Amino acid sequence: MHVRADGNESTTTTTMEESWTGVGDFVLKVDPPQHTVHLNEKSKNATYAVRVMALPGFEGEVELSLKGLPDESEYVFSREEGVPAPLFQSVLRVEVGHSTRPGQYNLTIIATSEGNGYHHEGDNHVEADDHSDSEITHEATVFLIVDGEPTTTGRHFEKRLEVRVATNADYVKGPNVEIFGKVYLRHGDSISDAMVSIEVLDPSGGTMPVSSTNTDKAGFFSKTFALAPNAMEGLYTVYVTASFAPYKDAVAKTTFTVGGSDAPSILITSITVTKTDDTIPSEFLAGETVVVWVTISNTGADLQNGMIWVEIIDSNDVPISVVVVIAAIHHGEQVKTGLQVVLGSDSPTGIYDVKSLVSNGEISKGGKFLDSEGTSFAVA
Amino acid sequence: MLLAVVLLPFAAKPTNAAGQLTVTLSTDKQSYEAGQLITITGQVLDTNLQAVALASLSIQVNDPNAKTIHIASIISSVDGSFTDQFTIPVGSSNGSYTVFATASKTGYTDASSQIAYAVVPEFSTSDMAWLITLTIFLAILVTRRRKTATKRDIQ
Repeated sequence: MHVRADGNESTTTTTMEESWTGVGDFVLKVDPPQHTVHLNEKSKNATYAVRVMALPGFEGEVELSLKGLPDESEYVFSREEGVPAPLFQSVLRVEVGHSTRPGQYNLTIIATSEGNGYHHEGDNHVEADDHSDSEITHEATVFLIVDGEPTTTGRHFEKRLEVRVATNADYVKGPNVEIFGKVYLRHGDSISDAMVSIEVLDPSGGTMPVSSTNTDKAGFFSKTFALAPNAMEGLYTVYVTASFAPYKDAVAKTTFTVGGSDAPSILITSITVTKTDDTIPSEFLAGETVVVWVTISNTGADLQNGMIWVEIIDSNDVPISVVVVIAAIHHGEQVKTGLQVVLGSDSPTGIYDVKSLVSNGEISKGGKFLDSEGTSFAVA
Repeated sequence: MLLAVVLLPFAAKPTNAAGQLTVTLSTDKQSYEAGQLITITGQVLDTNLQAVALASLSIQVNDPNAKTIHIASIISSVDGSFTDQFTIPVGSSNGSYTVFATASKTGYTDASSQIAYAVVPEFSTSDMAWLITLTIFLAILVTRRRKTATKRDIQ
């Protein structure tokens, strides 16, 4: 039996006592239920184990978000998304700032799945036209207690609005293109009810009208627009602008190809950080080697002499390393490459950013970046 | 012999109807010490010097040895402006650094620009104290020599 889910958004709150058994999609658990951070201690972080267990029939990908982070604090998940097969584990690490106000904070961990691949009750297959309509959300709340005296010295955590965007298909055959993404603060909360304006440029630079939308409670947004039957072949560029007071607007872009294109259509489909033994640690130590794995697909024309760049930015916002490899990425190919960076023995602790970009040559020789993606990791 | 001429329709290709982009580039200072924040700003304009919003900026910063120390991909604002910031790593080589930028947008021809800035040795408090002491010492030395020369002239 084939079931369509229109407008079915399911939300449940998972308590700490809930068992792994149940019916439906997946179960979310976060432990321990409470952590205390002392502001007068050198180490001001709290870690929580996050586990997502798929229930029979669920095969979708789950993405983690957080809400309720204290001011002047940051967080990182060791793995932000994954497919529970049947278990997906991540570690939430919260770095509390020197000037965070003492008190008890409720951290809400949100696990969201688009529902793709969700097989409900045996043969029933849930399929949805719209990303948000089929969204499955589970939440778990844990406590963070901050005590001690806040100070005004030390690093200030700059919170800025960020947005990321993707499309349902980088090579569009059908008439509908789904544009979706997430709005959040850098190393901070997901932003609900942010306004997201979408603009699509066709291969000649003409603007295609797409109305705006708002993010849901987990910070996600989704919009579907229809391509004209005689839509021009080539590379389309999607721009999204996220607005949420009092922050400065954030802009991101992605591309998709209709039919053939004489330009490469490059998408970084995943970026993960591991140790050299391929394990994903909850934190790295100073002096350790970080391997950044970047997966790139190309649905446009061949990219000869493509350059895959990785930049690591430490917890003080200092770029500590830029590494690059040259790779040809042909039409229809998916390339996965690992770039190693050795952390200095005096690396500061905290949350590090990883940026990966793909260019068609050195920028110093007139090249340009074709796509970019980022992730974060913790150094203890 | 009759030659049949067949006109084949050309596939629609992206044109550069909107013209050539121009990108301006500047840094907030001409020289920096390691550990300082550098702010790179600029603007993307079209051939009519009108601001171009949503242009993609690719930025690469190379050190004096042509080694890349920073990269960024940003998008211009409604007024065509863009900003990139990063902190100069401690231990950076002294010398001239170059910021390269390429601006691009569908329908336009890409534009490139570059600008240089210097990283100079950091003066610590103790360095400054030594410099002041040395200046005072030299000033005293010069004054004494002048006095000695004046005495010699009188004699």
